[in-house]
Amino acid sequence: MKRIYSLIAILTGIFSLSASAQLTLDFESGDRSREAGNCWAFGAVSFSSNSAHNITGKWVGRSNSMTNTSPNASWIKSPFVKLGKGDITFKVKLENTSGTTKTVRIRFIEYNSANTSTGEGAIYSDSFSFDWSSLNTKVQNISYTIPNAIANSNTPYKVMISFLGTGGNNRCNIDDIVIPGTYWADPSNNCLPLSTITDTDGDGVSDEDDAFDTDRYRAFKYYINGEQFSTLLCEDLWPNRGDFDFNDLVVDYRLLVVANAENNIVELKFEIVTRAIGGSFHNGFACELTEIDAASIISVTGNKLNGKVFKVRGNGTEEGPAYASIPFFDDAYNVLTYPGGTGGINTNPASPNAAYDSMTVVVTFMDKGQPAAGGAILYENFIKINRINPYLVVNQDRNKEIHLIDKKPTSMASPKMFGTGDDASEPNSNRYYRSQNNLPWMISVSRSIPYAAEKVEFSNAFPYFVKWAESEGRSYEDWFLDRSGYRNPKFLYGR
Amino acid sequence: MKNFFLLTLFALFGLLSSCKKDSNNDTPAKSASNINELSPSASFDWSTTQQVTLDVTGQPVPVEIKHLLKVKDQNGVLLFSIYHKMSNNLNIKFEIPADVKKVAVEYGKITKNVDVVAKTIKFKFAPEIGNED
Repeated sequence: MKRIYSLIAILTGIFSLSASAQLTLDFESGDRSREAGNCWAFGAVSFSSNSAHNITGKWVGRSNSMTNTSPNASWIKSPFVKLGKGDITFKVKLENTSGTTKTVRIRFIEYNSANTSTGEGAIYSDSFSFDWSSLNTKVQNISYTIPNAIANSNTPYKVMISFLGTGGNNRCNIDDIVIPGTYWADPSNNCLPLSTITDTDGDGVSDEDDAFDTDRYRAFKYYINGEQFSTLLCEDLWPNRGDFDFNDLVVDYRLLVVANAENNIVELKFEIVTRAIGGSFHNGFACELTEIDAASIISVTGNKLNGKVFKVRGNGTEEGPAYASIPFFDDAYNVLTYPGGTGGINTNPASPNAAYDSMTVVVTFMDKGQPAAGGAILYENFIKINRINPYLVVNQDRNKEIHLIDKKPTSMASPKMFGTGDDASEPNSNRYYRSQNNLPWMISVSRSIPYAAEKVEFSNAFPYFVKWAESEGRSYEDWFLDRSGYRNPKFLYGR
Repeated sequence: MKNFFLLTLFALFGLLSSCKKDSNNDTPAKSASNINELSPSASFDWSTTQQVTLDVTGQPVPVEIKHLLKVKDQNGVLLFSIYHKMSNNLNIKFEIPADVKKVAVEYGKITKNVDVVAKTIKFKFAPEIGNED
């Protein structure tokens, strides 16, 4: 059932109202930007801490020279306010005695919903003017009783204070503005009045922000590292160098976090598109969630396992690793259908191609608001570090993993092969999966990109890859984008 | 006298040695032409992302306002989001593509384009106005 909250303080994206029964502006923030951020507006009125301008405290508002009889020449507008009963008060003083006439005027601007830009409508008929009968520099205490017709009205108003006059170069200083009423502006919505919101599922998040507005157990969708897919490219001959075509396994991936209204993680969704297998090895693929306890997970679904590589617990996480490890598939050859021809799958241009495989692996942390035994995980805590540690299990050998450079292996990987072949890992120095020349076996590109055809060195397909690496990331950091001269179609695998 | 002669010889040798051209400086470093010729330093992580800090200055609004705070690239691709209370400061790290130099930060109807400077995205809700007109 659709629930519409229309309590006194139900606002766009706002669920509790702690506004006091009056608005004040004493200028002591010394920061016009900050006050404008709270929907005060200033037309040719500056902030001054010049001691000659002081009224109370250190700061005052300072009008333009009062030589214009238009109320729109120099002014202050309050935020929208639901006016209460009582007196609008403030203090003013002139800076000198020059000029002919000097006036401060108070007016009320009614809210008009048809004006979607500022919300400002008609000027209320009653206004108040204070005229200096003789020009002097004494502090004047201004007080004006809000007209009964608009006090305690449901219509929001802005209070506009204008500085008018003729002759002489004379400015007005203003301080300690007090307006009885309730703050009714939304600084996140062009300072328009606060408005009624709809929260269909009653989880405390407005439908506007709620990605699951009919599900009280889910509220937000967040993408880790952005909503664009990344491409993971692998060489699988570790610890020996391969041919650097980086297509022994090619997968696109992205990670979606679903959180509830309290920002606790409800589930992770790994979206994985397996695109190519460029070797003969039957590799498995998984991702460790670094420093996440497997007991925090209720279930893992959507993966493609045959039980030959990954042994899983009742909750679907792999049994053995110290941190939660999510297996995606045991064998890439069980994921892509071999189309015939020679070589692997989707790497030899002369062979038939196979359809990509898309899978969504859902890791559930909370069910109907209840976390797993390991407790709830706050989204903010999850993203504190990069916990995404994808890896290959090489050719069905569970002891043999390949990770991104310097990413730690899981506790299932045998450390015996570190430092063998071309590998120069130094676990004691947190150096992993680096060759003697600091070359990687796996790279992740922050966009979905094409990949090199079989036996084509990757840098032939992406001419600026070597320059990027040679500069250690300082030049051509966009080497993978589809820009003129950045890709060589002749060396890319085309489907 | 013999010692003086030896000292003079050493000094002369040293002077000549110091005047000798450093042949290493004459040969420009050869650029690698393929991956096998690469030899970056051990500090290079081969990452195409950059870890940035989002530094948000809260706005002390008199009411509680919460919205999704979104960071997008210049093509409108969502890079990061978090449900955030407008009055709170926020300092949080996350990764974005390394080639992104400018982002749009959105909160409700507020949108600001912000440069990524020193791997930091600074954002304040209030409009950028000074104390003077």
